[in-house]
Amino acid sequence: MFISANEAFVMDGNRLFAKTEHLGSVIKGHEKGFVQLAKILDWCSRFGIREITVYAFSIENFKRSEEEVGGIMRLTEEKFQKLLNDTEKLEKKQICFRFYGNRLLLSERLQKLMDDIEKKTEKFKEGRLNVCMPYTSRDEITRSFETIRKNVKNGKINVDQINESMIDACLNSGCGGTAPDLFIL
Amino acid sequence: MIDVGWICVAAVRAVYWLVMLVCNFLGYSPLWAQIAMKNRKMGNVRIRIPVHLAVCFTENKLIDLSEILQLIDSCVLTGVRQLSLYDPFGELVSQIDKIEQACRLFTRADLFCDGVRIHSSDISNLQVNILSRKMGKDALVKTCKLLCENDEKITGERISKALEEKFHLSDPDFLLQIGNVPTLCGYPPWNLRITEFLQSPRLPCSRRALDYCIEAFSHRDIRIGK
Repeated sequence: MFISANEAFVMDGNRLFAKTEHLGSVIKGHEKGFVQLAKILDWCSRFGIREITVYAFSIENFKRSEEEVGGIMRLTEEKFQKLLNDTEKLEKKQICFRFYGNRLLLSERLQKLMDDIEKKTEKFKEGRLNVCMPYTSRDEITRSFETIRKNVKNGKINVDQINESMIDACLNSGCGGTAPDLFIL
Repeated sequence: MIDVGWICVAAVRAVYWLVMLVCNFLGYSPLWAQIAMKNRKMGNVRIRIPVHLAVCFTENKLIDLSEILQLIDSCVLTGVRQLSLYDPFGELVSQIDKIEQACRLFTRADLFCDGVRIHSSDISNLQVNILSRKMGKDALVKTCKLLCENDEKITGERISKALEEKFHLSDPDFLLQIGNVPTLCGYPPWNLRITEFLQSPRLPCSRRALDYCIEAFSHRDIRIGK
């Protein structure tokens, strides 16, 4: 059996789940989504999948109601804080966490939590979990182009040297990540 | 004579609805009952025609020029304004002369191949773009080079504009993945922000098959992040 090296998941359908299961609030649907994600990560680990990419929150999702966005952010802060406090579990699993996306759009507290998690797990080698939040591929490509433009402007590189590998290296996944083999929506 | 005719039509209609009623009551669904139910369901759904339809061929053997020309005709009839045909195998680019001839003589569609205008008509109501693999990541690299020559900050809008102007690439509303493998084979990635996908084992070239796909598109709940 072929085991993919990097599997990507889009966390979608939480609101629909909350509605069909009559959970009363969409945030409860997102809570269930987090629980389900933890299960999926565990299954992937058992299959020997070394890298997982989770598309958790899109920049486009900021268009949702203030109540829902605020609820998701509170829930994320709570989960990240819990993860950060669970040193024993992190040491045992040895999973390196990486956050992709435009962090400047998040609260300072959430940015700090993400930095701390990345720093705490940067040396772990058993696997890698990339969390895309808040992310859109267009934003990632735009930031990559802008990084290259600044380097061209500073005279560090020449326009003729720009190629696909250079753009790839300037993406969030450029710091040791790989492209997903399988994308599950 | 006309009265007798009307009575016969009314009688046939009454029998038809009676049979339908009995079938529904008994739980049977004969073919005509299924069609009637489908039409009733269709009546409740507002049919949305995609302005820009894209087709992504994922298998070389499924590229057939006669089917593609038939699809172009079906798009004209349906009201699709732009059709992008992405062929990563290069078959369509090698047959561009034949496609150009068909666009000039029969469908009167504007034709572009990898961003270059091949044919244009004053009275065209469809724009056909033939895209090869070069229009994927290569086009993005060229766009990056182009924008880096300028001192202005690079934004998403500027990238979209450059891709549109230089390579004639725009965002499709609806993309048909032709083949059995769920892959995009390197379709220009920038332009898939709000695109809805549908996988089909064959090219829906007939009007009926295309209508079926458009019906599926109309049922989609497109929220764009909301």
